[in-house]
Amino acid sequence: MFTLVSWWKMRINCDHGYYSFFPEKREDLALFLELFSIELVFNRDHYTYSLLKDLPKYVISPTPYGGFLTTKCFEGTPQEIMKEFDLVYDISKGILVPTQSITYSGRIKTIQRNWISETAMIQAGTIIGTGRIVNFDGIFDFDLRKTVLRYWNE
Amino acid sequence: MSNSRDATCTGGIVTCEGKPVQSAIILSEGLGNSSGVLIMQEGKQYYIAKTTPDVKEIITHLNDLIPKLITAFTSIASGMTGPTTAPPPSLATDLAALTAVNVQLTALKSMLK
Repeated sequence: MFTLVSWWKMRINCDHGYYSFFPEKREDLALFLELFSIELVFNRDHYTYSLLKDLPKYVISPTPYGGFLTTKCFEGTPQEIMKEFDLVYDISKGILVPTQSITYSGRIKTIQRNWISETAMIQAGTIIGTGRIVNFDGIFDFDLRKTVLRYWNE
Repeated sequence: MSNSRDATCTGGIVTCEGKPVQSAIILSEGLGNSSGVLIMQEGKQYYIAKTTPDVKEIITHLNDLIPKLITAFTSIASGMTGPTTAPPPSLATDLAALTAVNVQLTALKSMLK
């Protein structure tokens, strides 16, 4: 029987541009890092980009927050702060950028009641139809080289 | 969740990590310069000044005031032994000392942290 998700897989969660990776096995992580030529760091219960791990839980403006100059003070988790300032992590630049500055367009296909990304890695803020994908949770399938989404929203 | 950082308040402006926090709500009088803590909770910031120096200064003034009152009243009482209504010779000096303490307390009131 055809299955969408292969043995080699890894859960990816994106909470307003904050990426969390949850490999089940070390080999999965190693394969993933090699595939995308990226480096991830361990943070409590997940792996993430080093910039995201080091983000403080408050910002006193005017202060660069992940490369973005904030305009007001705010306290919260990095995800909450990114949401407050409408920022997402730019995978290619390695810094936080305004969501509106993401100009990529993508598509989410529906196959067997699953949502599947068009690209291997989903850039938060990607324009999908009339909206943008900012939050999602899914499984990266190493065979498909795609992310099978459990949910996604703006 | 909240986050607290060391901060100062000078001229009514709260400064934290070298940056002025204009949006901070000062929970004390905020008239005098002070050091304290900036508490941040989501989009709100509260500044709590260390006010014990004010309390210490008030106690110091009271310590200064009470012996002066005792001295003044003792002088007055010492003259109340007969039909005379003349004030004690030290009254002017005693009143001046009390007035000086009052001036200090008034000044403190306008500089509460």
